[in-house]
Amino acid sequence: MTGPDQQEKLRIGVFICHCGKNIGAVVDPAAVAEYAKTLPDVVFVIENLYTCAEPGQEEIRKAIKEHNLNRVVVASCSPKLHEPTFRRTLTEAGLNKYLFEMVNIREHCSWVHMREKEKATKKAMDLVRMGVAKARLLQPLEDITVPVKKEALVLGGGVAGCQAALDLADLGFKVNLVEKDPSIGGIMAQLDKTLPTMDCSICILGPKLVDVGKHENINLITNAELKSVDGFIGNFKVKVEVKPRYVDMTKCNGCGECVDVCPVILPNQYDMQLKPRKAIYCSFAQAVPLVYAIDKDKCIECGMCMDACDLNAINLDQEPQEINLEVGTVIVATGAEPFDATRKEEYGYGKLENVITSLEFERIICASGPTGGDLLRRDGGHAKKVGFVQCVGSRDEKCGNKYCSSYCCLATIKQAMLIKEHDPEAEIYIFYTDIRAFGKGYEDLYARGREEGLIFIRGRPSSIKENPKNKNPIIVVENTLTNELMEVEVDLAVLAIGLQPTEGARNVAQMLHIPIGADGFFIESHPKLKPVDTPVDGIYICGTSAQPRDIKDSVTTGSAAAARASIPMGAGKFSVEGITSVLVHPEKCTACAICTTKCPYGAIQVKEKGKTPAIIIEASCKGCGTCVADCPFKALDQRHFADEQIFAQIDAALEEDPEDKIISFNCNWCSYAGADLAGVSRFQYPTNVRIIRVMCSGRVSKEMIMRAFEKGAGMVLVAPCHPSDCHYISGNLHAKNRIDQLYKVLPSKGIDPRRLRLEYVSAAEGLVYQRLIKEMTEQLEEFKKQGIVKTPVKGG
Amino acid sequence: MSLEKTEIGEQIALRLPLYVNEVLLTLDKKTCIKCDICSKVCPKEAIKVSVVDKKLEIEIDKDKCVLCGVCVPFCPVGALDIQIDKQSKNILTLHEGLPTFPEKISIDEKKCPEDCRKCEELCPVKAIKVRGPNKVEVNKTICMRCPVCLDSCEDGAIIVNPIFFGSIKINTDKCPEGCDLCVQVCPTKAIEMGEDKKVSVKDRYCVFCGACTNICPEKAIDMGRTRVLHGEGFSSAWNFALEKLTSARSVYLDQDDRARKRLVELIEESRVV
Repeated sequence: MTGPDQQEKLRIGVFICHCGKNIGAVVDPAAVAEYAKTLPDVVFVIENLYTCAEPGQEEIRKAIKEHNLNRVVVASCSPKLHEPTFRRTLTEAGLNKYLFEMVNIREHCSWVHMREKEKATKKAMDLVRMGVAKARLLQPLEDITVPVKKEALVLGGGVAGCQAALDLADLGFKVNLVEKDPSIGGIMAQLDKTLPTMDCSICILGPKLVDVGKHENINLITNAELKSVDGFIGNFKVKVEVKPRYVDMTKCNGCGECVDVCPVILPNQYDMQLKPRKAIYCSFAQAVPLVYAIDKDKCIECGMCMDACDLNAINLDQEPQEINLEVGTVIVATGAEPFDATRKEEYGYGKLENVITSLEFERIICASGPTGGDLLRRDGGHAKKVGFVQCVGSRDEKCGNKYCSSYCCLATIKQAMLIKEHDPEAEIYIFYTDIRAFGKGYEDLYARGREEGLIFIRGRPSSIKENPKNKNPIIVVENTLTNELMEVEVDLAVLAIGLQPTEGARNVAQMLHIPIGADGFFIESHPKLKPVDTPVDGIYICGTSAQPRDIKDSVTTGSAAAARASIPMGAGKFSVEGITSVLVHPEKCTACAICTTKCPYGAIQVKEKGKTPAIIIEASCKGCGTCVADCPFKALDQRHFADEQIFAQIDAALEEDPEDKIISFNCNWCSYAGADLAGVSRFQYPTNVRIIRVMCSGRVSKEMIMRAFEKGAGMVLVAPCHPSDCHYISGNLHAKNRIDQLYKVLPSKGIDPRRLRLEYVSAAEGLVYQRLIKEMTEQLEEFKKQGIVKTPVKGG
Repeated sequence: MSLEKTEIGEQIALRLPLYVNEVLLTLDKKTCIKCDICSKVCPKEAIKVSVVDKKLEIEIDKDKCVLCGVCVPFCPVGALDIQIDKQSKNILTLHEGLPTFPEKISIDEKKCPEDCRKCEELCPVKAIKVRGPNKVEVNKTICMRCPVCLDSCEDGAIIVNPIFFGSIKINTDKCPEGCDLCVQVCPTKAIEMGEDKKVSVKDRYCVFCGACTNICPEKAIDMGRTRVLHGEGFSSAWNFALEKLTSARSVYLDQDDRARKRLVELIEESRVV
């Protein structure tokens, strides 16, 4: 764990990247290179314009061979971007990929100190010194390979989930498709026509649903919910609870004889509560599976359905069933919910009877809906004048949904065109903010709409009133192109509602340990390059669970997720990073088992407390390091983030003018990424901060913090993920506990507790990090003035 | 998902508003005698009869009611109705999930003597109106099936069919002094206050509605139904209602009855003529 073999002499190569002008225009790469040459054990230094490009990589490979390098340091961008790239370069040159350290002089330096070139260059030198200090102590490591089961779980049976399931099944993998409703189909099954071609929605979806139901590789589990997920990629252990539908699926043939005799009439969710169903029901005619279900809550157990059923398919005593699945990968396709329009009180939805939502409109205009496809109002009258209100629940800060739901502009135009099809004389107004016609064929439909005489009025209606005589909605809006205030009376007002995250999304996220963004939707690993991956290996997201999408993008991402999932499943194995915990000093382990209480994965175990030393299950170890930081006897350490390595970085950071420095411990998943985002966004902050990367804030021990203060650090910042967002579930909680304990002890060591800060920064909070560093730097200046932080006497 | 409840005047209305369809349950509180029958037979226990200021009140919980319609045929005064799309309809009785009850009353007008109005005068709910010679009008909805008119007719013109059989006993030692609440609520005026200031019930005229048991503050009245006369029609809803109205044993006997009738039918059908 400590240092290289006695025989092996260190030969470190340092590669300084210009990254074009990104680094080169702020930090002086030549000066940094010159400085690097002065560092002990550094035998080779070179500057590159673009180190990540093939010529740059070739330089590294060449240098390793020609100069017999045994450690490589690249000073360029964030390791979150290219660490895997460079690790591959090392492997190609025959060097163990863990003998590589990346120094972030772009996102954490040149991009955030653009107007302080000298200080930025000095900081870059410090960062390189820190990187070399760690590199000296790096050890070769082997990744752990785990087998991957060739079976997948797809959560959600909407169009995205069905597409993913079919693709995987066609590839030959077994798929378990779990859907919470009694039938698959999702929202697409409720639509009348799809845009922009005006295809009948259920006509194109129906065959897909049938394929899912029939496919020999798909195990369709409906009326079921996810209960728990354990394990890791290749080997997820999943518990699913199948809620009873009180109808025997092996017997019911969907004949519907039971429906006529059921006395309980209820609103049908599939028809947006506009059409009746009975307590025993099948959501829609094309449901898969075509098996009825009983709403037991409302059922009066009169038994009339049982008498009517010739196949004896009804069983009112059915119990919930628990199913255990073992899968290699999980695809999350849990979708989204329509925005609840009652939240826009000013539009009167729920109070004014002729204000409806776009999804209700879809059911009304559909031939299988409550009116047989006629555009009727509740009072039975034909609606000849219709007003569409756009952006309801989207692009709306007051509702908390800042995002655009993407499909609604064209969905409204599609609906307007359907009205015109039924009634060419209809007068249709569309009150819009922008018309977003981004997709293929969208602009054409928009143009056709204008040709057909749809009236577009640019303005967001402030309210909808009602004409008491005839219950006509009156839409109050400012026409922003003509600057006139309008009150438009229509027969029917349709609110174009957006999508919002499902109620169960948070629960699913917690079960799978995948992150949720500020908007409540699941976050992908990278918005551009990894649109369906999640930070958790083996779990993928698609469809509207990640963001509001149209059908095409849902299908596309469904297929994409299937493709991504098939990579580890096809290979049959997956490599787990070798940065696990290790019992370095078994003689120090007293089997106190404190470590076992810190690990949320059960990856460290003590068989007999007080007797047998801790054992680490490497395949389950995620490499957070929390157990290491909390071991009271320092028996544990973490590979690649060893105590010694981090101390070396701290010492190197504080070699000069430590009192001016803020040591910032950033966790890989949240605050390190947040600081990266600050860089990407070019949020400028003072140069005092020196970031030390750990995988999890849970790794930051009291000893590390005290080391920083002992070496004279002005301030120390520990930046974990927000509570309940920790990538390793609870690492941040343990970090907080540790620091709370440390606060009590600091004054006795002569350290003002205000010099230690614990602040939550998420991957999305670049602005927060910037403001935090600015604030802390100001505070540090104050502390120095007040003598709370002592400037050591120079010289002598 | 609960229903819309409105109370206009003396009517409670529970409405399931769909887009073009509508299901509406109405309860006419003026006609309602606040007996205990509907609250007992409701499979969701959505109906409650309670005492407020010494008066009986009836309430329907809109979150529990599922508009199944079990209560409607049981109401002795037809105070409940369910309309589907503005038409009175009961899905259970339509599909014979609940039995029919025998006709409440039939009067053979031909037997009426001239100028005789005894039945009209004595009917405790004013259901009978003699319109002219041999012309008698009966409001069958509010008729309580009590034998008052039957007993009054010396010419045997009236047939009344009760449906409940049972027993009733008032433990007058529990009565608060001067309390005559049961006298006030009894729809057939079967309970009267005697000169000894004690209440007593004329068994014969009790129709086992249960209004008196609802209002008695001291639970002094023991009323139990043992049998219910009914026609064809059966489902678990009926069994449940029957058990709530009578007892488990009575349900057993009812099943027995039914089985016996069916056996007789089968034997008849299989007889070779």
